[in-house]
Amino acid sequence: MKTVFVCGPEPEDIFTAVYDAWASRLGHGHVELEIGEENWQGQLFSEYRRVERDSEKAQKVARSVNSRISPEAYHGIYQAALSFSADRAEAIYRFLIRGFQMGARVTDCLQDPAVGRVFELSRRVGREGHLFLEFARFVQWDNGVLFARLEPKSNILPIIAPHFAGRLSGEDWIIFDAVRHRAAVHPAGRTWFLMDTADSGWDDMFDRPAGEGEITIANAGGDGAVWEDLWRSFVKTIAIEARVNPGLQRNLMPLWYRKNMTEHQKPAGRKK
Amino acid sequence: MQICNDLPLEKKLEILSDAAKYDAACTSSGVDRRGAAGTIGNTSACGICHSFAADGRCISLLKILMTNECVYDCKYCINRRSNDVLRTTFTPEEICTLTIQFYRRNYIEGLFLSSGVRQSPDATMEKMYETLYLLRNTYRFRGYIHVKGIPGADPELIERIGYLTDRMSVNLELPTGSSLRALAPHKTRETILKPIRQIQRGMTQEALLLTDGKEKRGEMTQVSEGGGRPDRLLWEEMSSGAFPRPMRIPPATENAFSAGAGASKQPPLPASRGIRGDLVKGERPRFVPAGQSTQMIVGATPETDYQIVTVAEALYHRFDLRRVFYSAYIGINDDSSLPAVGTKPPLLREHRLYQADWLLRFYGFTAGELLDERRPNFNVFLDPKCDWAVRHMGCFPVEVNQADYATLLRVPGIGVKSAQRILKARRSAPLDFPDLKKLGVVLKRAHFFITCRGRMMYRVRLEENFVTSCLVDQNRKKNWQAEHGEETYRQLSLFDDMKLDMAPTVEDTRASVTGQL
Repeated sequence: MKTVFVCGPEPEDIFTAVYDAWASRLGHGHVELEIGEENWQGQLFSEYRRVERDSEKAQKVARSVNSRISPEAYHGIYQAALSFSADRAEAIYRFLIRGFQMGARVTDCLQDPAVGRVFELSRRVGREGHLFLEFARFVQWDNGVLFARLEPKSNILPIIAPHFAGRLSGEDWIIFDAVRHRAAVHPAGRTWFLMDTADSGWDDMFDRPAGEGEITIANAGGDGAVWEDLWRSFVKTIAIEARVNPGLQRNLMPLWYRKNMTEHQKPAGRKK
Repeated sequence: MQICNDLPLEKKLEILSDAAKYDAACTSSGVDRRGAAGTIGNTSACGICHSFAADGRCISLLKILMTNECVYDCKYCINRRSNDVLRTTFTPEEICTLTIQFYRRNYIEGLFLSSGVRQSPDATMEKMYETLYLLRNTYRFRGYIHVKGIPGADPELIERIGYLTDRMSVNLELPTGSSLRALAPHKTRETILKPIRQIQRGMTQEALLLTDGKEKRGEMTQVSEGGGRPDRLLWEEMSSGAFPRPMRIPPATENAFSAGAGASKQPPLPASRGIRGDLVKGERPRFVPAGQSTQMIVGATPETDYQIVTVAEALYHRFDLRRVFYSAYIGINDDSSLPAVGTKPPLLREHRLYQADWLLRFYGFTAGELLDERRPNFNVFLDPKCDWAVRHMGCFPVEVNQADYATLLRVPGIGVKSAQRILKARRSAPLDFPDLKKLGVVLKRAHFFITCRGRMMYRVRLEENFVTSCLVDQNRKKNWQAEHGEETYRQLSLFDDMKLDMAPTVEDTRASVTGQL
């Protein structure tokens, strides 16, 4: 009979579950990790244990992965933990079993199914994160705050926020993950932080359909929209008619990324 | 020609981005620079594309001309003097605000500033310098800047701009000097190569000057990025002496370089040294840290692919260029010495050239291995790497678990990343075909050329014609995998296999019309 450790969706939850499963001493073959998400389904003939988030346990896992395997391995499992795949907790657990056996070499053994899976998950998250560095678009509110709305598949805010913190260190900006109802907030000149916006007043302000970002805070004739129009016209004129290739464009910038991009929104629907 | 400088910004942007769009380069890669308090922007060595235009080309930088006024009359260029188009010029402030406002909203990675030649190369470069100085110092911009060097400008101006920009590029325009004379009467090979050589010298000189150990290490890795090619000698033997001669550059040009180099050997002006240093305390300004690139127009003149690739190779080896861009000629001007307006741009040819370019830079190939005088153009049906491999079936199959890095790189379907992963992964356990798939090897091409633990994936006849036809076929058939059983046994066809090519006779035509054939 298997014992299933059910944990929350965050990296911290997953690492806590890894700690608990490992410390339960039931044997690696008898435990399984699962993420208890909304439409989660249990198995018959399994025992379930709910894992409560415990940052101390999670930190212990992080520390021993860093020191006993390698920082590279930690980076891999951390990114994998941000993925949207349901098996991520289990994949990380299986990877760590191999990792603690092999040490730093483990990240090279991509032919091992456990290692390969974490590599795959991590690469997927890394790629999505990189694409959102490219495709995130800020609109400027009239109070000067830059606001970006994203609908990512993976939980990429912790990956992209440091990039923007370095780049726009002198700006107030907010990056809002509309799927997870969470925002990365950066006050000018200070460090950024994550904020859960569900059930708070913030959510109503942030969570507007794409293209209406401009009117969230009273729009008293800021020149923000001018730059958006300039950008749209630039994107249009920079293409060479004789080489038009929408297939290639879609390959490089899939349609689902375009939901919140200024150049793919109509200029209409804005108050002047 | 109508000059109109008091247009609204939107109209100016439309005109000057439309005029800049034929430039191929839009990369933001090559330099890592972290953000700093009190400034805006950083750069990332991998480069970040921010959007993709309808033609599928990336939009990474705000690509604009400073002015589309031009005293030159290059026949292929939309901005040539004899074209009747509306001319306008950005003010430095306009360029700076555009850049900053776009940058803040994460539309762009930085600025790509090119320009038509107004009055003289010096006057134009002076204005560009003024713009960049303003952007770096007043607007405190730390993002990426790519600037075009105008051939014929004063070396001192190039030097000063080099400390403000990340990448500089001087367009070679056309692969040979004779085409350049025919199509760009105001430019010469010497004036184009002179600034390229100057920038190269400036960069090497700086690398030598660096005394700080940490930075020096960074510099060394940058150098090895281009030089870290796998062992060539091995392949010299295998490729049956098809090793290219290094391209000769006319001696007159060499003399021009040494003259130019004399100027650049002087220590840089104190004023130019301090420019970026002011921005962040203790940071040393660097000269063109992301290196230089160039671009050639393909298809406007009768050069062969072999000539073009040889020129590119010489540029990489002798001028340390980071990138050479190829731009398929688009017929925009009506001129007797050019292909007709509306001719389809040779996109496949451009694609093949880029593929070959990657083989030169990352895979240890030489131009002479890919093409030669007897076969001066690339195969339309096969990419250059497959084409090379099927012509050298004697080198294959290679054993994945034993072959060295350089050998693996030669296998079609194995790239730089997958080859590196193979080297690492096979240390812990021998690899098999399903493992290779996980490592990112494209088996549909690779399986003809590799063995895993002594076995090939399928029973395949290792014979040039057969493998070629399979590879060519793959492009058409997506369901190749379902049909791989048929690969070993196939009905012989007199015409396909024996390369007989007979024109249909009159009788044949008649027979096909009447339905007998």
